[in-house]
Amino acid sequence: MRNGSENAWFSREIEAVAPTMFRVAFAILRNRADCEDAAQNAVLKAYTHLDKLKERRYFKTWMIRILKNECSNFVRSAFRTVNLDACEPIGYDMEVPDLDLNRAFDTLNADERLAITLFYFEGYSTREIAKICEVSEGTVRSRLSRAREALRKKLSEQEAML
Amino acid sequence: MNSSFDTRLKRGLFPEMPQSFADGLLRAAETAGGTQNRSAQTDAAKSSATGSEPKKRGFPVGKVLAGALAAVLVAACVVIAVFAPGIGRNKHGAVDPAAYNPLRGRWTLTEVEQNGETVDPETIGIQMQLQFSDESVTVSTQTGGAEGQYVYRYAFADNAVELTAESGEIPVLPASGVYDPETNTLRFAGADGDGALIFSRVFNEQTLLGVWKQTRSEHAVDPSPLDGFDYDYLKWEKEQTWEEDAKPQPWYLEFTADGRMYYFLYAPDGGVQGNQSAPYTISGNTLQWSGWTLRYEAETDTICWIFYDRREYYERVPDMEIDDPYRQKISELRKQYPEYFDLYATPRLKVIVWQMAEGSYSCALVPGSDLRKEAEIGIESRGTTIEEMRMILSTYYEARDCNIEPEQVEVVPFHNPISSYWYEIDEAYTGRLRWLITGTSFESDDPLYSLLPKGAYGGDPPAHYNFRVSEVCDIDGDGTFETCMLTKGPTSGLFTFTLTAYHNGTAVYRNTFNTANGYLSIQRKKQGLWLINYDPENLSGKPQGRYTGTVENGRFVLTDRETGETMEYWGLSDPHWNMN
Repeated sequence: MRNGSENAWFSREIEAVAPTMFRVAFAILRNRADCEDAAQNAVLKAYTHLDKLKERRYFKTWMIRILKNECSNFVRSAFRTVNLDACEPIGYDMEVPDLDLNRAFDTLNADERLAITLFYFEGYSTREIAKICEVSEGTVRSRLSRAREALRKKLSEQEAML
Repeated sequence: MNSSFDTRLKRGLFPEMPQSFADGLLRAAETAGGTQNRSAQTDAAKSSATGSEPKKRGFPVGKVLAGALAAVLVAACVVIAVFAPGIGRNKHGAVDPAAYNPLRGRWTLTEVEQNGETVDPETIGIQMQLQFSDESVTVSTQTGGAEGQYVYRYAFADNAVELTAESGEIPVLPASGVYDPETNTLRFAGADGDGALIFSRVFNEQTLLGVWKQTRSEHAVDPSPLDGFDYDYLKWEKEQTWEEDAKPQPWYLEFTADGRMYYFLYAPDGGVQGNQSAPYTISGNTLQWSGWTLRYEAETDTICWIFYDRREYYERVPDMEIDDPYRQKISELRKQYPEYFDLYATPRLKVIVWQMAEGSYSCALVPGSDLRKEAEIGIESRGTTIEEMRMILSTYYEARDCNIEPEQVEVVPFHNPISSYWYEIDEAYTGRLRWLITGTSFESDDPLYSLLPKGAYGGDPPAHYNFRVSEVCDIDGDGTFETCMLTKGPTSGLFTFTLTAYHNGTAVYRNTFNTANGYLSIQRKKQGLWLINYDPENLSGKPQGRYTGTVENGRFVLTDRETGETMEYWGLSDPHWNMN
């Protein structure tokens, strides 16, 4: 049983890491409703397994990893039942600042979107991202490289159409 | 990816976090705490009521799995002990080049001699004497005496070495040489008539852990043959046939300690074509994962798994470089400022610069992706001089996997809050700093900041022309390094150029010279520098002028290496001309 101070600490940490969790979840799931569900599930799991966190200073990284796995579960369960090819282009249930950029971002796979988010927005190094994503550092670099190239190509295509 | 794109990415990708999202998380956190506490309290209450310990619910899956796993590990260890007695050796120990295993066709470059005693003097061009792990080979290049930098690809067969030039001579690296075992390519600088070249020695810790032969029946019963291996990284490589396109492609698999497998396909140009991670299954002669199927082409019932523990790095200061003070200094810097080496440099690097007093610059280096404010970086960092930073940056330009060029180095000056020294930071200030640190061009009306352009004669010089207008060297032999810059002269119609040596941003030597019209380049030497002048009409021929640059009595002296005559100064011979 955790005492009140631990619960308070946990809540504070969650509050601090919330913006990062939102970006990570949105990068993978691309809609608000799923983001909220996945993130809340991740918080519940984190609290349940809090004793597995060896050092509290790594809470944010640990939380991102749990959230990433939770989002992957969402993606997998969705892919079992939904034929994405038959769907209309994805719309957003919240306003995005740059629609064209987000359309280009949607063409990346979830791993690439996550790599871009962690690298450019959260400031993680490729080594740290490799640990979070449980892949090799070379894989992370490869994902980043592919993602950048794909974004560049997609956006230039969009600009050419204008 | 350029900075405007970065900006667009950062501003346009994510919507603002809805307050409901944060509220939902906090509710979940509070609920989790409350639920667990209530659950624990309930168990405690029941325990108290019955006088027994709270019982764990459900089937003890964890215990069963742990037991099964332990059994598998023990069985696997027995198999490994029989088939791979070498496993686990030399895993994290020190590198021992003598113990290098040449099984996979990689060699340690041990010695380089140019135009040495054993080289036939009748042969035209540069002669290279290379020695790879006791296999000696003489290499001849038809360079016509030109200075340049070259790339060669090696093919080894039956202990013979076959060297073929890849599309002639290609300039690749600003200095020194690197053997890249991934592409089996040797890059080095050639200099006609100079002494031994500088090479980086490659150490390779790849150790053969063991060879494990399996029969097909073993595949069927053991879906996880890696259990029990004590490894961080295992690699299995072989040319095989993909069923999907039936084309043989080089590829390898990596097995990591987390129980997952990664496969890499290599494109013909050596780049990674694709990779994927997945759990895998083996059935009969087929390995399957995530939609891919790999079929063994084994003719017998036995297939061979070869396991390596691979650790590879470049030692940039091998024994043969001990005489080179520049390399020695980099070695010292690597120990003194380890935080500035081997950073993740893609897509760019950022140099933060601050001044604590007049002429006292301090530099710090961070990856371009570092989002901290400059002041934050500056306060937390130890400052190097401009020359030290240039030397550190040169290791990135030379590194085989960085693809960083001076143009990708961002220079950001700022006022350090712990200093009371004030100075104006404007475009000119930033431009001059960038010019000094990266050697890239600086837009200025002052010819002293106009580097001699690469395309001065209506086009780029040929590939073998080693165009360098900025070098760090110990020009005056006092044990400290200066940045030497080759810039335009102040004249029109008469070919003049100016050579300036800066020490941490302050000009210490400067002279202007008048010489024959041509492409100029400077090159760092163990002591001083070389200046080479090529006739733009005959760039593939012998240089029209080759000079040794030193400092005597406070002024630059350029001495013709053939005649021993010194180059004339233009205008005032006062060595301190226009030093302010």
